[in-house]
Amino acid sequence: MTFLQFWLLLTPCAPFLAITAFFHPNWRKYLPYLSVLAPLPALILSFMPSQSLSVPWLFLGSVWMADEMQHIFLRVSALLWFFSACYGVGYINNSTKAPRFWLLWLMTLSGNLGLIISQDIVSFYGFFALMTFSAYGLVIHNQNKAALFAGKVYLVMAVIGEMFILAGLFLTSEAASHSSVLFTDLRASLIHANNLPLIISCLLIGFGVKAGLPFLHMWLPLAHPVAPTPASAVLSGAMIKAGLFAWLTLIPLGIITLPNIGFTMLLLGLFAAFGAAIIGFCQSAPKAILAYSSISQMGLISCAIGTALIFPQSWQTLFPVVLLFTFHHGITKGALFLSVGIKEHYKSIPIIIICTAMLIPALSLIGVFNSGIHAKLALKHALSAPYLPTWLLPSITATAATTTLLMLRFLYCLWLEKAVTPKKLPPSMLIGWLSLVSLCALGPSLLLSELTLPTILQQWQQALNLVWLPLFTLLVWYFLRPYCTYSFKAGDILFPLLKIKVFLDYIQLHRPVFKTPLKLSLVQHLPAILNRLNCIEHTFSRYIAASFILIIALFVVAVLF
Amino acid sequence: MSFLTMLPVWVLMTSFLAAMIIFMLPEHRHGLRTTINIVAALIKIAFIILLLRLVAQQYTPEVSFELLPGLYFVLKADALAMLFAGLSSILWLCTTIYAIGYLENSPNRSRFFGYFSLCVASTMGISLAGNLFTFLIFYELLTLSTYPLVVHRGTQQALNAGRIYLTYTLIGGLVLLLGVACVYAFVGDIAFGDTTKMAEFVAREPVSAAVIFLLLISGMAVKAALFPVHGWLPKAMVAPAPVSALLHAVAVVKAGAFGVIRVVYDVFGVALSWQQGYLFVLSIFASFTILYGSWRAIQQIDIKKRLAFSTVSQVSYILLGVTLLGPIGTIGGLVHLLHQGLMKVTLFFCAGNYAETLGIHKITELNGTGKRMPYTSIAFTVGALGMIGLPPIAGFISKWYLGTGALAANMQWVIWVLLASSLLNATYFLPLLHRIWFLPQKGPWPDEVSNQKKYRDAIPLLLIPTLITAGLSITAGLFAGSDFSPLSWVQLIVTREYQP
Repeated sequence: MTFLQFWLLLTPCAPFLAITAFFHPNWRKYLPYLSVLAPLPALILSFMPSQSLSVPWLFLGSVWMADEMQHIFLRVSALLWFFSACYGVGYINNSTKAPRFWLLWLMTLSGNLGLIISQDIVSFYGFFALMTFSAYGLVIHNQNKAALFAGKVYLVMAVIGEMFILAGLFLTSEAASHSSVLFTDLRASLIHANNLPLIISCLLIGFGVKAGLPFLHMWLPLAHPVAPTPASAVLSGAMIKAGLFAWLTLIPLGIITLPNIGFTMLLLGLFAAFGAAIIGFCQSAPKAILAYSSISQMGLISCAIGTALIFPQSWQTLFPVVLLFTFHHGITKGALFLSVGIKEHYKSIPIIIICTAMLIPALSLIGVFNSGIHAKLALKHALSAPYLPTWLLPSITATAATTTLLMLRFLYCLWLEKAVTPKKLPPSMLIGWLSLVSLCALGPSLLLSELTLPTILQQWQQALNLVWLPLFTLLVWYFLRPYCTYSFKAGDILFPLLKIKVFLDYIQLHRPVFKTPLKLSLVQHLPAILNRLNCIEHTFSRYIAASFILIIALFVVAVLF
Repeated sequence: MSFLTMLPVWVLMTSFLAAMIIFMLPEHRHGLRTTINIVAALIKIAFIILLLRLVAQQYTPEVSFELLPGLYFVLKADALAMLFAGLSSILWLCTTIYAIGYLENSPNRSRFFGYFSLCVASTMGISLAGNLFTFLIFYELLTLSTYPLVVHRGTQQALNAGRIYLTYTLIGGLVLLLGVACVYAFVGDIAFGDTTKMAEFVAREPVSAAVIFLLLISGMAVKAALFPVHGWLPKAMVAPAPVSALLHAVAVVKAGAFGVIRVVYDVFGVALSWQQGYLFVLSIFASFTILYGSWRAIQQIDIKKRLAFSTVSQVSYILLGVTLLGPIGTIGGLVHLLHQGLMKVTLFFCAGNYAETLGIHKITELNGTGKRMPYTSIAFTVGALGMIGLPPIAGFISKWYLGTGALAANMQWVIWVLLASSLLNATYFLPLLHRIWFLPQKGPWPDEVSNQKKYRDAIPLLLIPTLITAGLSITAGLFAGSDFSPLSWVQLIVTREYQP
């Protein structure tokens, strides 16, 4: 094993090394600081040369690898985890729950980093599950009613997602005639699979739960407001990206052509970009607004993936853009989430610093500041290829308007919610927040030097084109402001869906069966049938001997004649 | 005969002799009894390791003698036998240690450990049996030796449960006897693995063959708790925790599943059973049991009952794997025999720990146990997540092979059964984990044992076996690709099975 390979092995294991501190009561107080350090190996790895490590005795034969795409995902994740942990050192007060929070934080971190470098099904799925289930603890950290509800929704959706993922992986393995569990082989054989649409749909849906695909997004606006702020930052910045990463790793984009699924993705993406923004605009909790903004931004990436499924030739230019956009959105959204915590801790910070640090990520997300300009221009450039439908580019442009509205609403709600008697900002929170903001301001050219981006980014007059729409939106908003009084409950379509919960309550069988007179609707007949089976079983066990012999006899008779 | 050839007999004898000696020991000789138990278990593991090495080198020790003309008593250590024997011997050691801790200061320990060893001896007999007749002897012996364990507490409830258990298993045994008698009458003595005679018979009289298959499988299905004859399993939950662990994870249900494997692979032959459509019917029953068991598990509020129904569901995974034609599905079924054993024994140990230390029997009482008994709770979490099928725990490996095996056998519907079952597994295990780790303690513990205050968790004799089996379930999954994993042994079996 070379040094580089050792470093690759260390990356997901470092959080586990930090976890050992949890098991000694005297060391527990160092847990937050170790959590800050834990993502550093990943950050360093992301600047190292490409390498891979093959571990044949692990699981069904594992391969771990870090290449260009992995480097970028590792970098954005590690930066987010690092600065959010730094912020968390001050944010998570030393309550009795704090060690548990950091324990789960480290486990989620390990899962997040591990899945990025995994190149085989089993370790990937393992790390993915580790991240999913540990993050449950982060979501319900406060353990009030809202948090527990959000946690429940998160867990149910995550488990359903896992099942789709598993179905997708089973079918993927079949495409490779069950000969390999390595992604490189699977991608190569997926191209020739005859049930490709089914496989790709399973994978898109399964990972779409994480990536906030519309109609699978309900957990996001519920989970983010209730989770502690640093946890929301990593949930939204890094964990959402895990779903995207899985798509990019497993689906042979740019080779396969699936017009129907691609078109659906494209429409879903646009629907998310606009719909989520509109619902988000009707929210009043700052973090819920940001959650909807994440759904909306991920919608743009879904658009790109949909485009690549329809026009595989576009993936060549889209791929670096998706990576750039991921990086930009991760850092920006992280910075925005961290700024939510400032509303109670703004004592003795100059107002100019607060304003600047709030505005930089907001403007960047709209696309009129440094990294935002890069990402937006690159995306529009890639989607302006002549063979693409003409309505695509204007719709992408129009999302700048919805994002502007969202950011406006966010800053406004944050202003409304600010504490009357502010507390002092702990230095660690200040460092974490301002560092992420300055990363936003630095721009991708410094941090993503390995990406080959379109040359259009050098032409600054292009950037001016991005400014007029947000300005126009501001004007419109100023005049139409009095009429915008709608409000939506965060979680939108979840609540109609929860009517099914009546059904679920009915089948929670801790209550006597068949004692209450029942008026059954169609959907309620299923549990009744199953309950009937219970009754049959009960009767059955009273006459076991007779029934059993009877059944056997019946079988024998049936077979003989 | 050399020592090596006689090894199957020695393996059987270690626990058989231990049982005899323990029966003869007076009740108060606790130290000596414990020593005999542990030493016998260790000797057996040593023998098994020796046998495993022999079998890996293509050597098959076999002991055979004629009881009556044409009726042979055969003990044979082939690769498949070693799978079950290995599982039993490891779990026997763990369960014995656990039982010593569990039954500390309770009456009738001599009886308990005597039958316990006898039960393991019959399990060994079942695994090493070389033909149907030998199999039947030990199968019946297992029924009889587990009855005193189920009714050990002697309460009215236990006696009732024992009666139900006995009714189910004896009738199952009767049906099996009928099936075996038919085989001997129509086909003759068939050594396991020799499927040519049966193939001729099937070609000659397909209907009679189907009836024989039905009789054999029905007899086994009672012990394997296949729907609709699973009713005894949740009832038998009144037994002491180590018995439940042994009954559920190793001895009884696995004996049934193992019997099905023997009938399908070594009596009829898997290709023939597939071709005749037997396996399809079995796969329907197994799939239904998987879903039905999980469904019933959700409704239970008693921890052990929930685990029992979970077992009903999980054992059918093994049967389902058996019905999937092709090496991958077979690997899934066989490896689940081992993996499920490890994980379920862990869960039952944990349930016993909760009951013994804090008096917890109901799921609602589990709130906040993670703080009070962290190690037991970690072990429980490992077992539960393994049952759901999450890597790195062994459950994922079996589920992966079952799913891919189903696709390889062109039975796509099976993966939806597997996924639905995983979903249900998550439904009945995740709320428990939520209670254990995230909810605060609700009032005083139901029945906290006061003299154990010096231990943070359960007493070491209960805790150590629990942690060992939990550790093994992780190891079996994490290092599945290594040469010493259950998976690689199963791959060896399957290679031999599919390469004549």
